[in-house]
Parts: sequence; structure tokens; C-alpha cells
Amino acid sequence: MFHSMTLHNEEGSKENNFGLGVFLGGVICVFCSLIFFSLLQVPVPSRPVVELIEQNLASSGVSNPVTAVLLNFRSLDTLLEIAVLLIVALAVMPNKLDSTSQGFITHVKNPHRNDVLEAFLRWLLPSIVVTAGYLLWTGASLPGGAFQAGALLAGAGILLLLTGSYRVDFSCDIAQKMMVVGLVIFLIVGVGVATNSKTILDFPDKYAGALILVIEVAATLSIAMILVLLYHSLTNSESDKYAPYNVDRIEKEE
Amino acid sequence: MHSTAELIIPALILIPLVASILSMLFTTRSVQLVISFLAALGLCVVVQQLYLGLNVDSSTLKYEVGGWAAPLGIGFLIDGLSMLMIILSTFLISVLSFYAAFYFNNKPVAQRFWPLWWLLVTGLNALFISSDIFNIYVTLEIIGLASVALVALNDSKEGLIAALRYLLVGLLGSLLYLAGVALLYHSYGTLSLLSLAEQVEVNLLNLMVLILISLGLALKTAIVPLHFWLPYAHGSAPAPVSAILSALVVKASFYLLVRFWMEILSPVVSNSALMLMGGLGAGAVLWGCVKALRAERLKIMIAYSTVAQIGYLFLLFPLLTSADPEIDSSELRQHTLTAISYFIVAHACAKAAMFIAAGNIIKTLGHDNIAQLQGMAKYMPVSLFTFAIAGASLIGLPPSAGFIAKWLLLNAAVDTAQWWWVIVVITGGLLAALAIFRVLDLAFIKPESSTLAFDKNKSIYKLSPFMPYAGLFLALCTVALGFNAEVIINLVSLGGRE
Amino acid sequence: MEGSLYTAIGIAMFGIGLFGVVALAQAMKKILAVNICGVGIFMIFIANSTAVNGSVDYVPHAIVLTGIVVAVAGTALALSLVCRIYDKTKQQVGK
Repeated sequence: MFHSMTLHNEEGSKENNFGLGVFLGGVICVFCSLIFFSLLQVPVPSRPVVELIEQNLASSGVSNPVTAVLLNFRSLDTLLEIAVLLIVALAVMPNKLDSTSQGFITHVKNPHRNDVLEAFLRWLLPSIVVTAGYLLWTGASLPGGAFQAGALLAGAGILLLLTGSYRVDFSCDIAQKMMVVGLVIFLIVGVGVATNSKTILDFPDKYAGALILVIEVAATLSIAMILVLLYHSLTNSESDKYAPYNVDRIEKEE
Repeated sequence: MHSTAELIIPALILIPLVASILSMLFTTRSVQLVISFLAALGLCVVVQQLYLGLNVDSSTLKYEVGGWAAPLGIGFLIDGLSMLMIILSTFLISVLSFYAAFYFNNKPVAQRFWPLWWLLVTGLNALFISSDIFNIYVTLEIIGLASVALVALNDSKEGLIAALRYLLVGLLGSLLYLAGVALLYHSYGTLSLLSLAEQVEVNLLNLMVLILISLGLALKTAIVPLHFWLPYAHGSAPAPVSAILSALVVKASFYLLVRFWMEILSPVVSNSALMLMGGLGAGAVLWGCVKALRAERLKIMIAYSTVAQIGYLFLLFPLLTSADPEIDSSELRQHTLTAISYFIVAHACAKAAMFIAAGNIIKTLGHDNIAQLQGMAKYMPVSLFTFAIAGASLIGLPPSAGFIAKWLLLNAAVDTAQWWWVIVVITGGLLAALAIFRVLDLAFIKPESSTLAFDKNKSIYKLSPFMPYAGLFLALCTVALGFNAEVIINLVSLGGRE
Repeated sequence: MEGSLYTAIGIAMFGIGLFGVVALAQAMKKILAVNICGVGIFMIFIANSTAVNGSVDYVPHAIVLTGIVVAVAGTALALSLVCRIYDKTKQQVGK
């Protein structure tokens, strides 16, 4: 779709760069094989972390070690990761952040709406929401967790947008609050526990499980919201705000 | 477990993060400004306390996030170098926030500027205090994405293309860094800077790690020949953003480069590798100055001068080695570190002042074509005076921080008997002087030409009187630092790691 | 050894991605290449998450999850920039 969209400093036909391409490919090939063979020479190290995780899993509040690492042992990474998502959300949002009086989701009459998908979603949506809840809950003991549940919920939101009968307004109050709720709850819990132990994000053993669940629920909402916003901003350009998936435009251009 | 000063280390991350969330939720101009003012004030207080704490203990400040010790959890660590970077960033953030409050005035862009600005500060502070190489990757991404989002606030086609190129380069740089992290974790099973520094030995894999990490960080630091993205990204961003990008963001990746070359991977670093870095630096000094001399737009010229100044930072790497075995290597390392710190501080203040001056000129004239600046000194005396003082520091004229920095560099070059770098430094200084005097000559000495007459009433925007003085303040700081060299020298030697 | 096969594939994907970012001219291809490169690195992480006695090290798993989210964020920002540039230029498709 962006065939003529090249980066400014690299304009020019491919043929001209063929020699350069072969050279670069050769260099990268040699470099990668060097990495591989030097990796083989290094003996497999002892990993003290493995025993440490086993020892401390009981006091982490969850029984799934990956969740324990993500939300307890290395929770700062996860906190900053949600901040990364927020940056991108801010970057793709419309210029004015003023909250508008419009509701978050409004029903619109769209001649191109997808009736079949809309009818199907009446069955599908509830089950997606339930599955997302299950993934979130099961993250404590089995693979799953906030990001997986958030991604699933975002999928539901994207399907809803694809029907073409709904118009969402991400500059409204509730949408913005939902985008930051994950970070806000994370910060409140993380700093709140510091009143007890004087260290941020140091969850007391007794309540760790409950606190992690609270953080995950909030994070799921934010992640789902931001992912839908990202999809929405990519499909809705300035010129056609009302058609989520404007078939006309694409046909016209092709 | 932690001393009082250590307890407040997380505030360096939490304050800007909270400021960002609040300024996203409450978008009224006055509220956003109050939030930013309080956040800057809070950061200053925290930094002052940390500085006192570091002075009392005279060792490093440590913190374990979540109470989990190093191999399992993430640690914070503040030594002299990171303290210097934190002080520098807090100082510049405060001044630039003040400037940005007037710069954006009532524009709708400001509503998105403040949350992104404070998220960028979060990333910078987290990078300077983190002692976990994967956590540093996440902070690098925060810095990279927030910078791109800030550059993209300029909603013109050129600005967006510059932002996209900056983003792709940034992503590639962090991925190369992450590949290095993956290999290091494979061999040592730990992500902590301290335990890695103890364990790293010389082998082929670590050499590969050094190449990957250096390549990634050099791409982000924009050393010639990897600088192609910098002039456009820095040249097309709003003025406060250009200032922070040149003053701090490129320094963040350079700071990491220093950490890896001088501490973590130092056994792997060979003399020829150091010489290679010096050679790249020399190339950058000369090329950056030549391009600055030929630039047509003021901001592009300042951006190329950043390319040259980054070259000086790389010039310091070969001074870590000496042919003379009598010179103590740890002493040499301390000297080099001091010179590097001095260059970082001097350039950061001068360049921020210059971008502020350029921002004022653009706001007043509506353009920044150097040729059309002829005789403009009588309309914008303060801004052009700021430009002159900051320029003097960049050239290395006494009395300025830039002069001390170059003096330290020349001393080190003579001490280690590497006289050829002296030629590069002097040529670079001359070329920089030519570039800066070209602008000053036009603006101050040449009379206003009648064809380019500037109608004061036609001015698109009336500058707030505070805007030029914010820049002048920074420029005067570079002069003040020229008189008080000990401050930085003492700070860097504090809590130095062996 | 199974682990080294996956490591080799990971390194190969890393190399392919690296080549794509550097050598291909189109912005969309570059964005895809960055993603391939990232997946290669995640694969190197995962392939090396077995310790000596066969027990599993979960830190790389968590790291990869964090890395994926960061990669999603970077890709989304890049795509939105491409869309905005496209809006600005209104270039003809397929030219």
C-alpha cells in the first residue's frame, strides 16, 4: 500500500543497491554465524535464579512462576511496560485531550455496516469477555495474565468496531480514565505497600496474591483500551472519521 | 536496611510518572503548569537530598525494588557519574519546563506535550539509576518512544518523516542492545550490572556482545557515520524538545556506552577498539563542523554541532590507554571520566541554551534561515546574545565550561602521548568558530538589508519576556561552570566504583 | 541438541530482520523487519532458558512477555506515523 513511501535518505531503485545489499547480507551472515559458534563454545551456566524463584514462589502470592517474576520479582519492568503503552496511546491520540461531552460508544447508522458480523458478535462477545476473565484469573497458577486477557478483550473491541455500527470517541472522559487506570492502580498499590515495608512494590506475603490480582484487573482494562485505541487510530484517518473500515476508500484507490 | 537518602531513590521515577498521569487527566493549561511546577520542585528536593546522602556516605547509594536482591529482582544504584547525570537532567528539565510553559502558550499541542514530557523524564531518570540491563532496555524504549512522540508533535510532513526515521533507528538500536543482553544472560544467568562486571571474561562471545551493544548504543548516540537521522529529528522538533533531545537523550545512550566500555565489558575492550572509537570521534568532530558551516537553517546547524560535540565525547575513549606503563590505569580512568562528565555538562547547557535561542528566533521571525538573519540583532538582542555565549562555550573559548572540557581533553592527550588528537580538537574548534561567527557576523555586524526588512508589527508571535532569559540563564551557567570546575570534578570522584 | 537448533533459528531471524531494516527501502518493510528481528531475539532468550540440570529458568519467559508488549507499542507508533505521513501526501496507491 505504501510502495512509493520510502525513507527520504534511501530513495533510489533496488537495482542500484543490489551490490550493497549483497555486501550487507554477507556481513550479517558472517556476524550471525560468529555469534552462533561462540554461543556453542560457552558452557551452559548454573542459574542461581532458578533456585531463588523456587524458594520464593510461596511468598510471591501466585503459583505460576512467570506471573511471579512479572508482577512480583521484576514488577518494575511491568510498571514501566504499561508506561510504554501509555506513551504510544498519547502519541496516536487526537491533538486535543479535552474531554468531550459525547459518550464513549455511540450507535451510528452506517449503510456499509456488517450485519452478519454484528449478529454473530451477539453470541461471540459474551464468551470472549468470559474467556478473558478466565485467562486473567488463571494467570495466578497457569499461563495467562493481564496482557493475554487484555489482548483478548481488545480483539472483542476491534470486532465491534469492524461491524461499522459503532463510533467510539477516545477523547471522552471515561476512555482516558480507563487508559491510565492500570498505571494508577499499579502506582497506588506499589507506593501504598511502601508505608509498611519502606520499599516500593514490596508486597506483604499475606496479601500479595490479592494485590497482584487487583493490579492485573486494572492493567487488563488499560491494555485492552489502549490496544483498541491503537487499532482505531490506524484505520481511521482524518478524512473518514465515521467509517471504521472504509471499503469505499480502498476500492477507489485500487 | 536502607539509609534515609536511599529510601527516596524511587521518587526519581515516581514523581515524573505521577506528574504525567495527572497532566493527562487534567488538561486545563493552568493545572498542567501547576503540576509541572510541583513535579520539578519535587525532583529538585529529592536530588538535593540524594546529593547530601551521597556526600555523607561517600559510597554508592543502593536500593532493591520490591525487596528482592539482585539476581531475582531489580536494583537501583547511584554513584558519582549517575548522580551527575541526575543533577544535570533535573536542572535542565526544570529550566526547560519553565521555557516550555511559555513556548506552547495556549496551543492545543501542549495538552499532549506535558504527559509525554514527564514520561520522557521518567525514562531518563530510570535509565540513570537502574542497575539491571533488561530494565535499562525498557527505559531505553520509554526514552525512544517518548522522544519520537514529542518530535511528531510537529505535524508537518517533514516532521513526521523525521520522526518515523528516528523511530526506526531507535528501535533498531534497542534491538541490537537487547540481543547483547540475551547473549550476556545466556553466559552468566544474571542481569545485574554489578555481578556482570565481576564475572565478564575475555572470549569471542563477549566480543560479539561488545559489538552488538556498542553498535546499538552508537546508533542511538548518533556518532558519525550513524548520525544521518539526528539533524532532521532534532531540527524539526519543537524548541524545548530539540533542546532535551540534544542535551540529554543522546547523552543517555552515551552514558550507557561509558558504563559498558569502562566497567562491565572493560576486560574485552582492546586498545585498537578504543582507537577505533577515537577515530570515529575525530571523524564526527570534523564532519559535524563542516556540515554545520554549510547548513542553511539555524536549527539544522545547531543539530550538526551536536554531531560534532558527540565526536568529542568519543575522542576521550582512546585516552583510557597509555603507551607509558608508569601511568596508573585507575587514575587515567578517573581523569577520562572527569573530562567526559565535563563535556556532557558543558555541551548540555550550551546546546539547550542555543535551541532556546533558535526557538525564540523562529517564534519571532517565523523561519530560521541563516541568510535572512542579517541585522536582526537589534530586534532580538537577548536571544542572539545567548546564542553568542553558548557558541563561545561550544568553540571552547575561556572562560566557559567548554574551555575547561577541551583543556582536560588536551591535557589527557598530552599525558598519554597521543598528540594527534590535539590537531583534531584545534581544527574542530576553528571550524566551530567559523560556523558560529558566520551567524553572529550576519546578525550583529551586517546592517539590516532593505529587501529582507523585518516589520516588527508583522511578527507572528509576541515573545514572553521570560523566554529569552531562560536561554540566557542556561548560557550564563556554562560560564559559571567555567569558573567552578571543582564542583563536577569532585562529584564524579564520589562513590566511584573500583 | 534441541536448544541449539532453536538458538540457530533465532539468530537467523535476527540476521534476516537486521538485513531487512538496513537494506530495504520501504517504510512498511522496515517495520516488518524490525518485528522479525525482535522475534529472533525473543527466540534466543527462550531457547536458552534451560539450566544445567534441565530445570526451567522463568526469567527469560517474563522478559519476553515484557519485550513483546514493548515491541507492539513500537510497531503501533511506527504504523500510526506511516498513516499520518500517508494522509499528508495522499500518494497514489501502487505507484
